[in-house]
Amino acid sequence: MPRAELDLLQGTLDVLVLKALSWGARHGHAVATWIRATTEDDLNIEDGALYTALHRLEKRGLIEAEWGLSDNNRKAKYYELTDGGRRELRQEADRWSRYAGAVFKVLRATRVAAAR
Amino acid sequence: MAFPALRRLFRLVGRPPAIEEEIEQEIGFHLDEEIRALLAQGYTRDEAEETARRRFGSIVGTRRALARIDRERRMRERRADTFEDLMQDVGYALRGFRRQPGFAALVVLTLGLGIGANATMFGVMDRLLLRPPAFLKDPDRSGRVYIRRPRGDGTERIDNNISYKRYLDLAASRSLEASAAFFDDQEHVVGAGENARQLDVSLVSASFWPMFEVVPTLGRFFGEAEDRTPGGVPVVVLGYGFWQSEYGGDPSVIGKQLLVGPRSYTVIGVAPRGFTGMSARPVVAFVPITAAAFDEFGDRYFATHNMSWLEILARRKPGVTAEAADADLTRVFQQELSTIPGNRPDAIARSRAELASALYQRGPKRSDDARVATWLAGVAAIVLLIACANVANLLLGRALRRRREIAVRIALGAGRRRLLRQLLTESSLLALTGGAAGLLIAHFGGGVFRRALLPGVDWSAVPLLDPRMLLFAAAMAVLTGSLTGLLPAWHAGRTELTESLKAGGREGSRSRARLQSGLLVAQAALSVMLLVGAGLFVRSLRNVHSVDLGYEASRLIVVQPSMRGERLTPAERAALTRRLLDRARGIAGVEKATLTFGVPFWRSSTIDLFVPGRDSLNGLGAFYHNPVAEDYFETTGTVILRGRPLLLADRSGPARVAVVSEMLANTVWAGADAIGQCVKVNADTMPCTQIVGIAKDVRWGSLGDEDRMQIYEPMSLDDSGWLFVRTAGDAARLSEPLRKELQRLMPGAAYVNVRLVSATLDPLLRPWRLGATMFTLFGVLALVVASVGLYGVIAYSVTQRTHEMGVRAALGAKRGDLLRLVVGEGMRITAIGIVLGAALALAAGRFLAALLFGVTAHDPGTFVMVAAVLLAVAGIASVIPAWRAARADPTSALRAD
Repeated sequence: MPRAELDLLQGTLDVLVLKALSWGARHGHAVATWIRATTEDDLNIEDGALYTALHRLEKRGLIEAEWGLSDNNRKAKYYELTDGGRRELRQEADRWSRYAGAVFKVLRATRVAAAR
Repeated sequence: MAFPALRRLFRLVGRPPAIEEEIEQEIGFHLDEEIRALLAQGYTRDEAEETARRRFGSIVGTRRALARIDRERRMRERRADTFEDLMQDVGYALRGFRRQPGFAALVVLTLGLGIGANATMFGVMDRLLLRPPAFLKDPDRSGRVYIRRPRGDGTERIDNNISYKRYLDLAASRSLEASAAFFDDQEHVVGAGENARQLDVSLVSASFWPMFEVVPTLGRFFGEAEDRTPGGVPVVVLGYGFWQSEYGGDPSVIGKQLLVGPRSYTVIGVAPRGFTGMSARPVVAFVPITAAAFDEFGDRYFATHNMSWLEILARRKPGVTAEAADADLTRVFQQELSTIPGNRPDAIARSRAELASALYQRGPKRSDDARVATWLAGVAAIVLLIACANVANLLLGRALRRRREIAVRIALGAGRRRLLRQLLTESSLLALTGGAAGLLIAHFGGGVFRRALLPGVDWSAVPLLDPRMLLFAAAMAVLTGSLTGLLPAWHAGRTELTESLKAGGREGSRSRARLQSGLLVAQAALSVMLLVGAGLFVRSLRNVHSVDLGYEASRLIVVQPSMRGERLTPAERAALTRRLLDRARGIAGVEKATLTFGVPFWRSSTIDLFVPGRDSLNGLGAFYHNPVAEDYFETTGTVILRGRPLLLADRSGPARVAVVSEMLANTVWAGADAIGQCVKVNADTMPCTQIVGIAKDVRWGSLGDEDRMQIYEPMSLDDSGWLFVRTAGDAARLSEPLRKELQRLMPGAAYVNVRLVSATLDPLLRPWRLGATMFTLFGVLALVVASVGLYGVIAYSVTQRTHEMGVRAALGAKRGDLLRLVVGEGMRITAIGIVLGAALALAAGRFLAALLFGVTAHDPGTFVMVAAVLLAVAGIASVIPAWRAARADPTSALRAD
């Protein structure tokens, strides 16, 4: 995979994961299911990459992990946003919206801007 | 980590679950959930498993990536924990110190004094003994040349002062790569008129410059063509500091003229900043050795062996060992000696030459100052040891007081490792603060201290606190921190949990008592060593002061006329001398005045004597020759034992006469009367000189019993004699009026220099004064520290035994009994310390003996006195707490716990 794409993906993935956790603690599978359902499977993200993102975010102190019991009573690792993670999510979401908006404007342009 | 056992040990400490296990569990859970969800959507088992795996991507790769990320996270967390623990320990320790500021202050002060003393002594030793001369090339192979010749009494005479002729001979040794002559031991008059001053000028050979890694800041150095016998070329290389202070660093100084001694020298260059050649003092100017020697000694200096003055700096060839170089120098030296008539073959065979350290103070003639300084460095280390023992004891007492607290913390689950670290943090904190205090002490006290210690050395170039000193102090602090912390920590680590919890605040364990007593014994023993040293030096100093020099130094002034190139005919010179003598005699407060060549411990010359019918007097030792004028003996106060002194008439009289010292008379004419005997001076072809008197021995070149053979001959007025002036009272008050009065008689640029004879004696007394002062200072310091330690421990043990005391008192023990019980403990510890310390002092005394004067290192009086002082101090230190314990009300003591 070309490096530019990976970088884009990685940053994007982080925001998605943070967003997925913004309603409270979830385990990895729930995060994966939520993202897939919300994007209607358009992004085609591998679950392995998702877990890598989770652990990386934990290392950065943006999320915290704790072992708990799942709905069907199995031991599962639950992730939760820290204060720093919440802040990061706000910033990244804002940045992404502006970025996407700008790209969108360009793509929707119907005529060549007048020179000078 | 290399050792599995060690690894296991570390794992044991609150070991977290393995990273790989966690990841396995997490991925497993994910796949199971995914499959479950897919099955619920109607997938078959195989389809579900296949889809779940596909959606996950590479399981192996993910597993590896996760493990790496988690490991990094763990490591970062662990580091943060350690730091947090440390901060917690530091905070805890600081809170503890704030609760007991007296304790903390005492520890910091004790360590500060110990470390400060060591840092200061390190600075001195570093300057004196560790650093080779700046810029010296290949310092490992370079050094000073010394010659050793046997004396008549079987001892050896070691000389670093060598004649020019001998320098040329020795320099030819095949073992040497390069060699140079230098002479920097004498001040020279520099400048003219108002600006004329006596300053440090170095006389060096042209070969001196290539011995150093040095280039001139300005102009050039002089070469072989300018340094030729007899008179060289009068050119001068200025010292950097002198160039800055006198010429403002003006580059146009080249070509200017500078008066050095009697001659005008042309400035040809400036030496770089910090270059002082072989001297420790700043050097004002460097001149060709042949030029200055010609000015000073005339045109005979290079042809004779009898003028030993210059020093040799030499570098042996690479590949030539030190032993081989010494052997070849010795061969050359012996060969040269055998060409001089009158040398006995056995004396030649025992003569040697050697290449020793370039640092004078590391060579065979290192001064007593340096030796005393070395000793004082050792003494400073002992003071630090005592301080350490004391601090360890204080910390131990503190740890014991907190024994219950520690036991509670262990019971609550604090790890022992953590507790040990807590104790070590505490002691390290104290030690580091102590180190800082020590540096402060070294900074403010050190300057005064080392100027007093070694005033001759140029300290201005050496900062009080250089990086090496800081490093040294830091090392000392870390060392003392772990030394003082480990003992109590080790002790606390062995604390039995249940026992401590049960025991309450009262019972001290037996090992506690042993450890504390041991430390006290060590302190007492070390104190004894220092105090014995102090006592021996004080006695030496007193003995030195009471030495009968044979002349009254405190009442004598030396007047040194300097002609500064004013050319006078012999008749004019004689007239001037007579005028100076007459004027001096006329000044109020002057009792007598005379002429002399020699000045004790400053200027002397030796001479060959021959007695008709005797083979040779060479083996008997050195004969000091002193030409003097009439009234000499009345002026110096040297007693004429028999015969008569030299008279005015002897000066021009037809008969040659002389006075000799008692020792010379008894040595040369043992068993016979010396008066009336004939002696031939200088050569056996000379006419007879008749001995007319015998004078009491004088100490001329050393304070000991050697070198006391003197022969006094009448001096004629046109010789360049110096004046000896005897004052009625204190000589110091008369020296300036005398100088002013005599200066008026001097023609042109010529001038007189006055100097107190007691001032020339002063440097001789310095080693003993130094030793006495510093040993006493350190000894008292040690005594105070040790007695405070003893007091603290006794007081502590008394409070621990209040209960026991109460019981004893209730059972009818008298107050005196209790007092004896407690004081007895302190005295017993001290007595053991004294015995141990005395044994150590006796052993160490062997090395100290050479530095003492008139007292053996085993002087019983000193030992007894030190023991008495220590017992008295220990008595006081233990009586105070004992008295308090004995006065305590038994009922309240029993009720307390």
